Amino acid sequence: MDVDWNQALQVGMIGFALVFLVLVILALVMQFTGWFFNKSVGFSFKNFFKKGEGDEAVTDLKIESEEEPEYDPDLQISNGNNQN
Amino acid sequence: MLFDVLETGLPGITWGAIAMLIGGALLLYLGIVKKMEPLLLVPIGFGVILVNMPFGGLMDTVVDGVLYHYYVVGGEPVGLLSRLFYYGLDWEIIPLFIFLGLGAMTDFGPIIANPKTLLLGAGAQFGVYFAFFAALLLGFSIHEAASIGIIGGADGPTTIYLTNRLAPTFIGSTAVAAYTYMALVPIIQPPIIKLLTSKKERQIYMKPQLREVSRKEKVIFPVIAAIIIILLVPAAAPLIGMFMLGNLLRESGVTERLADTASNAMMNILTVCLGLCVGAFMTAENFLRFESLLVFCLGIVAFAAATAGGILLAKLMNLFIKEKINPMIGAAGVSAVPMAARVVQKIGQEENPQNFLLMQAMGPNIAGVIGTATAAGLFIGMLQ
Repeated sequence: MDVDWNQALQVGMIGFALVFLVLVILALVMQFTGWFFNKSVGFSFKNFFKKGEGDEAVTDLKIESEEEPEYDPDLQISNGNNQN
Repeated sequence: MLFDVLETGLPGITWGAIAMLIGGALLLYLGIVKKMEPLLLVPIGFGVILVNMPFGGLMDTVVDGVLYHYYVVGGEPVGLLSRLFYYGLDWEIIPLFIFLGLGAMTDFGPIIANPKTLLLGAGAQFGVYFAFFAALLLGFSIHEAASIGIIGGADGPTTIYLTNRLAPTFIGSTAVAAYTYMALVPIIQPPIIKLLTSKKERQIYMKPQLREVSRKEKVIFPVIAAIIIILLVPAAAPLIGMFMLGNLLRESGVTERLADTASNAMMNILTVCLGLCVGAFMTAENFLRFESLLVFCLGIVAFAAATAGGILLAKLMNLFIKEKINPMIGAAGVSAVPMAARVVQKIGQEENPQNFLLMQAMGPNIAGVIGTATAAGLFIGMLQ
């Protein structure tokens, strides 16, 4: 079957780039929203890209002790079946 | 003819039908004995058996006055399952309402707590586009290639929705490939993860708990996400709209009954209908083609490339961020919720018993669902 490679390249390359763009925009908006609802630490793009966990930049959850909270492996995920 | 009054199915048995009956039995075996995606593979397998029994008439379609014993796109459905297929899948009702149920079952907390993980969900879409080009090189049309590529997103309803829009004759093979490979995530992903990461990288420690996400944030997320994504990719509106509506029902706190129905009763009913429809499409005439085999081969390529894409993006991100992330969580960017995240958790524990990566991996995992729905919307928007 003849393929229009110009169209295919557009669909593939632009499509992949747009998936990234959409999710980057969503990530930035959510980072900003997180800052808005948790004003304890100011939002900055520098924090967004420099901090590893992403949570410290927006968190209002101060862990008092050095020990981390106990981890519950069953948290929120109940069965082995795929949801989707 | 039995006693000259009853026509049995025996004369209508063909080698193709026998092959499909064996295929249906195999799916039942995988679902019941091996417990691989039983909620889907059992109805699909039984649907395959039902529809390949001669003269059952379940999938009969009439085209220009001629009766066909299998589904013909564009024909008039006259059998029980052909009607279900027509109104459920052709009209796109079932996959979209399944997305509503999925939204009601999904906790966006990990994404909201750590929005960077959305990027890993995008990275895993590499598999979709890699398989898209691979399918084109193998001679598939651009519409078929898009339907095959989306298998890499590891999202059943999205695969079915897109295939129905772009290449309806491939719906059986793409759906079965997607669900089969989703069930095989624990087998497919670990070797790829180990191939692309060093032991040291796999041992990178990440805090097991994410920050606490407020209810306000959880309520506002589906609204904001729907607006942003639909504004940028209007063709993704049906998938993203239903997904986010389902999540809003869950998080709003005032529609518990609706959220409960969407995530339980409705989801179960639709799962039965979807499984039967997909199985029912797999008549010998529709399924036994060389292209189906190629779709299965390309499906696993898509899965592998998606896993690789997520991992490599995570490694790339590590070059720029101070506090390193464990690159294995990128592998969870293929949707398959929560199986892919569980795989990452399991390998993480083996490599570093202090590591609990499950919640960290849930972020990319859920982002993968959003990314795949967005990619599907882009394919539809660009190709229809």
